[in-house]
Amino acid sequence: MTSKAQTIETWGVMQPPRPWLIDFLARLRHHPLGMFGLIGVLLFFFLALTAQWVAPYDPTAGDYGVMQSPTLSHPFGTDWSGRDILSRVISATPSELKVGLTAVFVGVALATMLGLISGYLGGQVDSVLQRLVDAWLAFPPLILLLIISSALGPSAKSMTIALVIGVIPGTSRIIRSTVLAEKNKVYVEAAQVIGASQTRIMLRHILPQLVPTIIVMVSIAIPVIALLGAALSFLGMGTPQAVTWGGDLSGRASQFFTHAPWMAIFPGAAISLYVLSFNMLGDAMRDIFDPQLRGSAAMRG
Amino acid sequence: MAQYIVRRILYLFPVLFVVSLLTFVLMRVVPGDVAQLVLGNSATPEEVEAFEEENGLNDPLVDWKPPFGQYGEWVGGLLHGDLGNSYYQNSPVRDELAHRLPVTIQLMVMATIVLVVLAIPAGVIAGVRPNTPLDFVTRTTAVFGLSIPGFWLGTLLILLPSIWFGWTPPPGRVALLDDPVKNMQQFFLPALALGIPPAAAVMRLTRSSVLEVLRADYVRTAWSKGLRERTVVWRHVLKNSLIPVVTIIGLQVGALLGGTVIIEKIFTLPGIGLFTFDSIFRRDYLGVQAIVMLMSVVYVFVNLAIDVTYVWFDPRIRYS
Repeated sequence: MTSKAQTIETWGVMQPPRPWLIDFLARLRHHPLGMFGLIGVLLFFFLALTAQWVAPYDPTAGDYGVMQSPTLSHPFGTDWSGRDILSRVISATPSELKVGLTAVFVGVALATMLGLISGYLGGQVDSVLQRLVDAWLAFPPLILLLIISSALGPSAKSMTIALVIGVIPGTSRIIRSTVLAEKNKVYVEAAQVIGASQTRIMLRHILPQLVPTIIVMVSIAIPVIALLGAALSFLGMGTPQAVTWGGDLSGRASQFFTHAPWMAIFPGAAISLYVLSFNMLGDAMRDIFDPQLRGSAAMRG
Repeated sequence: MAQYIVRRILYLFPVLFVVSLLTFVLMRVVPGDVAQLVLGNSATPEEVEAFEEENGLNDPLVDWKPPFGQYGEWVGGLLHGDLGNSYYQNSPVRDELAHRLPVTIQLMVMATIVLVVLAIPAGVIAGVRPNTPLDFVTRTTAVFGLSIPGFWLGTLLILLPSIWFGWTPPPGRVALLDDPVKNMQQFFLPALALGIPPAAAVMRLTRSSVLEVLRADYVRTAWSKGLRERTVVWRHVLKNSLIPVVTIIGLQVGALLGGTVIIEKIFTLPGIGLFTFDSIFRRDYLGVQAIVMLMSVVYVFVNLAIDVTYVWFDPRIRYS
């Protein structure tokens, strides 16, 4: 009841529109899951920025007793070579965020270019590019990424490149379909009539209309890419010496899981919490900004 | 319709051509010398040279005259059903695949059953009763399901029963017909680990699709005729709302195929996925190339089949 009354009152006074961030946060209050997601995302950013000070121990120093169960001094226990698991989980955040977010932003940017060119130019260009994207999509994603990162050698950089390649095809398809819907609208015709160049129409007229779609694609891609990246580190494609959540769940460590289950539980829970936070925030964003895309699962897999 | 199918099949050739070229090139740029890996570090340069000569690794990659270099020979072999020899077992890749295929097929089929059984009923119930506690619980579970990495789920599915009950899946692999009970013990957990994450995505799509169809005019008509809820849901809503769901299940086949690499590795099931992983790391070019081609063919045909079954689901759709 009160909310209805408030809406009417707001409309009556004709307040100027709120800045979008404030508007978003105000609406997020009614999304408990989205709020949870936001807090989680902020927590991971905080940990990523402060990892070296927040981590209680040296993540690579193995002198705290082998496979000790969680205690107050080692809340997540220690691993098979006596390293503190909490410190390892925290120390992995900067690189996980850096690799995942770089891959998503670069990938979505390239996909936007590809989708714009393919959709706007149409004709032969579009046919050729779309057959390429078809082939790209027909490749089982994880296997393509595995081949690429093993071609480039195990490192954070090659993993980022592999993940970028994972983002592009599906995203560019969706951007292209938005471009196809936009390019027949009157404003594009008007720009063509006054003699604007194709590049100008694409960049100055159509691109701004794609922003909502791009935001949605970023929000969908972040969790998906985080999972793929974790799978790649699990399969041994990260930098060999680097601390990663996926890497701590594989290799020699896995022989000891039955004796020290905490070794398996905490790094995996960190990945899940990270992905869950971005998923929940992304869902809430889509609910708030674009109710039509509610529950969209277009890019998963 | 027949014309449409023929055209779609013709479209597949350029796609598969690009896939074959891409795999071939990618595998050749992978650093690491297959000869050295096969023969070990103690091999002399002469032995390496002889191995490369014997396996045609010194031929040009692509050539303009027959047999068109290594790529040409490989594609020519493919068209005759010859996938080449594995450098390790020195046996045809085809035999290796034939031997391993039943494992992966069983795993995929069971994972798809898990997916459908979990996702569709939950999605329909949540969609028919939106914003109830039941809906909230299903949706929250789905977000959790979307957020759990398959390899961690697999690890936990092995770990927890072994801690709680001291039970682990029996080692080795038994064919379904030889010993169904033991076979199910081996396959049930991997199928769960493979099927649950995509089930969450499909469940969310089912829910939103049901919600959308519930708003359609003909559903309101059905209600106003005084039909029972069961009839409205089963006869009017379900059929139409499941059309996009079927597509997304088809797209998940690709994810499931990729997922077998991880799940078969965790559960040490001797299927195609494990072979993929080993082949990539051992630079067994022909093995990887064969698998990628096989998986791409499966993927494109599954999606073609889905587009065709649309017509059966929805007579309004006409392809021309």
